[in-house]
Amino acid sequence: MLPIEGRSLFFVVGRGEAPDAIVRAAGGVVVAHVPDARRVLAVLPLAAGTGLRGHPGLELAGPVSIDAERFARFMELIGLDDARPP
Amino acid sequence: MASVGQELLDVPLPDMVTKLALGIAEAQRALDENSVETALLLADTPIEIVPALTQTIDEDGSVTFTAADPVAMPLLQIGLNPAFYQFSEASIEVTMDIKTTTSQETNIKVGFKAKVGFACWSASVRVDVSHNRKFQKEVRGTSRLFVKMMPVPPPPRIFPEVTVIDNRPPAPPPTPPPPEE
Repeated sequence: MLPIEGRSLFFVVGRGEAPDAIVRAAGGVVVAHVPDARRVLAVLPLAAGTGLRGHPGLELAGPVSIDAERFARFMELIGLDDARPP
Repeated sequence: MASVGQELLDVPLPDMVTKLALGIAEAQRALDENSVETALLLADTPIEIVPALTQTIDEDGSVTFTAADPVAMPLLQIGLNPAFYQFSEASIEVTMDIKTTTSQETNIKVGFKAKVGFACWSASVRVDVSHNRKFQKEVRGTSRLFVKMMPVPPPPRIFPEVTVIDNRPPAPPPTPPPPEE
């Protein structure tokens, strides 16, 4: 279980290579590569995440959130919800 | 020398508030730009989704899975949204420590000299007065800025409306139980 107190989900895009090391150095954890190694979802302390703006090794570090309603609709679409068992 | 009250009045508070407000506006603009840039990249980052998986159980009990052709969907469409933050509170705390000291010093030195000789005499009086007045002022000031950020809902028009048209045949109604005889 990943503690999320004071942390936020960030979409981090590396400039040319995977940003995992930069995320780890900022005290974050990479939770998913979407869809390639250069683009990751990472949980970072909010201040550290916003501090990554302008990092020379990154193209972007932006805070993201999960839209529960849309995500549920997507899960329904691909048949992974409970409402309509395959 | 300016009084303590005047020193306090001389603090450029309106200037500080203006600079704080402009700084917050600038930071807010940068945050919003970053979130919009994130939205664009999320919309431009497709991932491949396998929309259906069919499990077939043969007569002999063997199980096979058939995956439908994957479709590409942007991260934005599957519900990954940029987060927007807003400065909800800002305050300035100014602390001043003013110390004024005035000291005054007066030195008077009186000298008297007299000489008496043959049918003549002389006398002199010498007075040295020195007057020193010292003013000392120490002003120490610190200012602290507090800002509070909170997440806010994204602008409603930033996301495309997703309409799902499901052409799958409706699930057959449940078979009623056989009538009891």
